Amino acid sequence: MTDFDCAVFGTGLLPTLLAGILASRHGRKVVRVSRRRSAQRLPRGLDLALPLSVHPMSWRLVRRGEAELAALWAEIGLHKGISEGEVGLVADRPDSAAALDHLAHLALGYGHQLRRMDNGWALRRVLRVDADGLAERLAAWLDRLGVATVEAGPVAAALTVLADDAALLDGLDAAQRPAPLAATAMTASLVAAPRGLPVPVQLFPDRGVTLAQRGDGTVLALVSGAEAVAARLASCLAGPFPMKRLASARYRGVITRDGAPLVGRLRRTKTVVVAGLGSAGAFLAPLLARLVADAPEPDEKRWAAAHHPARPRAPVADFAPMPEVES
Amino acid sequence: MNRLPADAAHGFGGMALDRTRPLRFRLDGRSVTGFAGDTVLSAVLASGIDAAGRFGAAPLALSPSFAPLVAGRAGTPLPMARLPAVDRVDLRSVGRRRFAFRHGPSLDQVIAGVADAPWLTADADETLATDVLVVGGGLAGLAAAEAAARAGHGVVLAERRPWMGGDARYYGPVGDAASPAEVEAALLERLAALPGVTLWTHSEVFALAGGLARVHRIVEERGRVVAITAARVVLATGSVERLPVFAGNRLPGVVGAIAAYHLAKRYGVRRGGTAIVATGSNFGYRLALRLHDAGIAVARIVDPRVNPQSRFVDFAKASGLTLSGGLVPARAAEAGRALDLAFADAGTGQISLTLTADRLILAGALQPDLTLWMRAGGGTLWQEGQLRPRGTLEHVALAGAAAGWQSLEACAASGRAAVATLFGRPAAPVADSGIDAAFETPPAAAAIGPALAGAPAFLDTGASLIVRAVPGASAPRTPETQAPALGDVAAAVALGLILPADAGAVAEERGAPGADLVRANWAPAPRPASDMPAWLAARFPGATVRVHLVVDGRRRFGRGALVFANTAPPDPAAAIAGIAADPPAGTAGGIALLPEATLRRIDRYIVETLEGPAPARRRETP
Repeated sequence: MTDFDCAVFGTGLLPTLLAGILASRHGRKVVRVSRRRSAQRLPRGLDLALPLSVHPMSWRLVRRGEAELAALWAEIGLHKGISEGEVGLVADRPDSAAALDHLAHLALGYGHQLRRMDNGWALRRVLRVDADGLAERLAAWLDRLGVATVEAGPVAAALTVLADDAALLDGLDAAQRPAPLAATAMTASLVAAPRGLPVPVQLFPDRGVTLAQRGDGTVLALVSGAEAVAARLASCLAGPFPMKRLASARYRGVITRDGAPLVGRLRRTKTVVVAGLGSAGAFLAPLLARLVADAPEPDEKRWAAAHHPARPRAPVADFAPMPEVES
Repeated sequence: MNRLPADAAHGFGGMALDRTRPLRFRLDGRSVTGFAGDTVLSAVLASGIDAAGRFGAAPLALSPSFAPLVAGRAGTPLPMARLPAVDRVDLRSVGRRRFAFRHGPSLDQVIAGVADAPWLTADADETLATDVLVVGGGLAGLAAAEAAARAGHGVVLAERRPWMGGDARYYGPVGDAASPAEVEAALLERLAALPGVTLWTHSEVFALAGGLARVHRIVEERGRVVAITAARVVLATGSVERLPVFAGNRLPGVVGAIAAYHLAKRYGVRRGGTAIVATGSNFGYRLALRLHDAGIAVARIVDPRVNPQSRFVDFAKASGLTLSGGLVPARAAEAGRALDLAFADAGTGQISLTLTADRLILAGALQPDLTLWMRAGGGTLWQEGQLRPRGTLEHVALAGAAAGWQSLEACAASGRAAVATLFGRPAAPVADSGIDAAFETPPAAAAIGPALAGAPAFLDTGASLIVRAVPGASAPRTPETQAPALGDVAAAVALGLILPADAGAVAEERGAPGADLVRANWAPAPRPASDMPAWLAARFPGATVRVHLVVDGRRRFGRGALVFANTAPPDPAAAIAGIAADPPAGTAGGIALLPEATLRRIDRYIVETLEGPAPARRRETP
């Protein structure tokens, strides 16, 4: 006997949207297991409608998700906290440069404008969502939908979805984790960068660094890996130096070793894992909700089957610039 | 002069001063008088200058926790609260100043944030090594230093302020215990007789990482940075007084109780003849009584607690002081040199008392000072209304109020226990002796006034300058941003802005952000390009044949451009290849990797470039 059809574990935009869409679009009785988080904490990620992927299906699904979420934002009455801006992609290694070249042409094919930058590309009008800024409104939306929210499990549910990095790390010990998943050290920093960034968001995949300009003139930096964090971060900034760090937090993240999404139910369990979606995960929430509710479109079903934990990974291998992972 | 008489009761005439040795110096062109023993700050405050400048439209009080740096003609900037006043020097305050025809009671700074002190990034003038570094010269620190020295270890004790003994004298003894002055004197006497002990005042430890500490000292009116390698570190950094949050809580004339106590006790500094004490603890009553005895007219003692019980409450009543319970400060506003003060019902937030006085003294709740602990990597968590230490650090121990101890005996015992623990020896148990709650009402939580328009309501006393958001009011921008202090985080919890469960993490994230970034030319280790990276193999399965595609003799295809069969729709999912490499030198087009199977059935292609689609064909190799 279970109290809920689905328990969605995780904090942040993707788990929130997934829980809400499962309740509103698919009539599921949902509980969200999410610890409340103060807006003063440093963000652990960005929500960008930009899959760091060389596969067209990923782009198509994110574009589809963008359109569906636009309707959802209107339905909920969300306006602030959703913006468009340029995203820069910078490569250091030849293979990464080739992958980004291909990715940029895919973006072009899916309607993005772009321009060349030094060692990379800038994609124009990429949607970015300020999850912290929307948290209160989305929580109220979930309340209206009757989605229960608890701070910690266990909960009795027919299906459990582990929908963010912390939930994956907490919910699966190392032995249970599918082989493509790897934990990685992460550092979030807030930096006083007087000159700002040349574009509002910059990704340096070969350095493991993501930078995001904030409205108050500071820059949020997310650095993966534990080695040479300060040097890698500084190498992505224009100065002047010394540059003051205003805040810093270390935490653990989850990546897929091959850069491809990993989505599906683990064998002989009632647990669905959602991983490897990068910054674009929130935009796949409508798709993920359809998968969880067993109502995907045919192309979504094929995509999910290809990225299922039990399937071979070579056919879905994606851009993965050799991340530093925990041993 | 804003000085109490030299013979004021309770020694409030200024125990640090030698009134037989007056001095005079210049600050920003104005003449300031004082006595030997003054700091620059105490002399300036005693001369009637009690504003640092303006923060937006509101004046901002000059205080031990917020004062601009000052510099001589050739010297580096130094903090006013730690710099001894010297006769006939010419100082200037550091920062942008508003031009004024006539000097008033302000240093006329235009305050838009506080720049980092220059010593934070300065090279060390001196390096030394010690067995034990004790940070903080309160009773816990002194006891730790004694215990370490008695065990045969070399000790350096660094105290930020100009005196040893910390704040113990403000709190006084519990019951019939020895007075803090007696305990302090005895400790200092015993330390003086022990070998290998170095005691520094005017010395702030501003960085600690892995046994390496950096100390900024003021020695003979000059700043020096000393790098100390310590095998063990005792952090006896005491506690800080939290600032009650209400509009105008940092106007000139508003002062914390501990600061007011030391200014009077050490330097005989007062402001005007009347004061109101707003306190949530019994120590505020003790201070009010002493000020009353020293000749200050204490017009009212205001307390958020209703009918608090304490011997000091009884003494205050017996002394004829007027007490008002159940009230919190709601607003302070300038009224000439005095302050118009409004107090609100602690339950409803409705203003129910207005008074005027020269000074408002705030005895706020206490917060263990864990700033250095966090910089060294220590954690914090929110517990019983305070940020408390979390976890352990190798070779570092907390002692005294920083570790949460309150009574003098417990603080001193915790200093000794910290040393024992650091060296792996058994430590005597530490216990706080206090007065039962039946006889002394416990302190109130930090006071939060209603959100009212007016002068800014700061969250803390220091340089972070974080202001409570009030509808219809905006705080000035502060381009020079300082990290939130522990008091800021604690106030934000009280205001409901930070969840208690997140308070420790926020304090750590903001309070220990790591060293400044320096220029780096880091680059990933070079790696040759792969013939067939995994992503490309997955993207175009079987695409292994390198084919040179051209449209004409000039046009080149950029790498990454998608290649379609000329009959396919321009859907990226229908692409059969991508341009993988530039063409050979001297030729046009680009190199695509194509599946061999397609070569037989497709001989015309479309290449989607940034400039638009281009027809292409295979270039026959000559």
